[in-house]
Amino acid sequence: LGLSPHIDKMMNKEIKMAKEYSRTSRVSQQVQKELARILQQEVKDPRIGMVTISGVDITRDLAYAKVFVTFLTIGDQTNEESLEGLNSAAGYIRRLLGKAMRLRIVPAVRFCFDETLTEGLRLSELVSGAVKK
Amino acid sequence: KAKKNVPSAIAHIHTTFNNTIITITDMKGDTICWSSSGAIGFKGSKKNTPYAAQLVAQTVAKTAKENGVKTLTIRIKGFGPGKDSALRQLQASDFEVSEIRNVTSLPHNGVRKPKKFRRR
Repeated sequence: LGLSPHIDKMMNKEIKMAKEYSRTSRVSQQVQKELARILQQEVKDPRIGMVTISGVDITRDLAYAKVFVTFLTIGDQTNEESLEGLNSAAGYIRRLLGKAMRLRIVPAVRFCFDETLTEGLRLSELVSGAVKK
Repeated sequence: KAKKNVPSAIAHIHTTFNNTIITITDMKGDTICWSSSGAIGFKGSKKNTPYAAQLVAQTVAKTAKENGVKTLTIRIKGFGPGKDSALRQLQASDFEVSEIRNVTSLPHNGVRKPKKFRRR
């Protein structure tokens, strides 16, 4: 910027920090916390078992949120049924999220099953089995 | 340390948004072993990841087996992202899981919260 090198360095550091901890990542972390609380305390659909939110992806304009979830299924309940239950309650959950967070635009929530967890466990077991051999 | 021979134990999985702690106790509540993401070596934001929780469960399972634990009752507390991976890892560690219970403490509208949490 043509200022002294010391000030240039400070401003570059601030810009780098802003990019690393952007508004979308801060909002997605907060949305994750609020959704975890809402799903445990407010949603009482029998199709939904114990839900864990592993991550939230939000678009840049904060209008849409993709929520990655995993389930602890009980008995014959399948992941698809639990996901269907969650997506059918998405509107209600969005309303509760709007009350919990002070945002100009409340993101529309869409739930997706997170396969990375089960895949990661499976791969980890395969690797440890191969190492033992 | 002397090995305790405890065939039935309780695994307390305490997950927060910053860390995951797993404690194995006997049926009375006396601690046999414990571990956490920080104890394993993770620092900062890596502590609350599902992978860290998985490693915590592996560590704790290994020590629990050395103390003769065969059957586990699991109690889950908290809203953190590590609970599912910790639970799955404990199930995959050749323990007989007799019960899984969610014991997250909820107030029946209790004490007044600090200003930051009263915005809602």
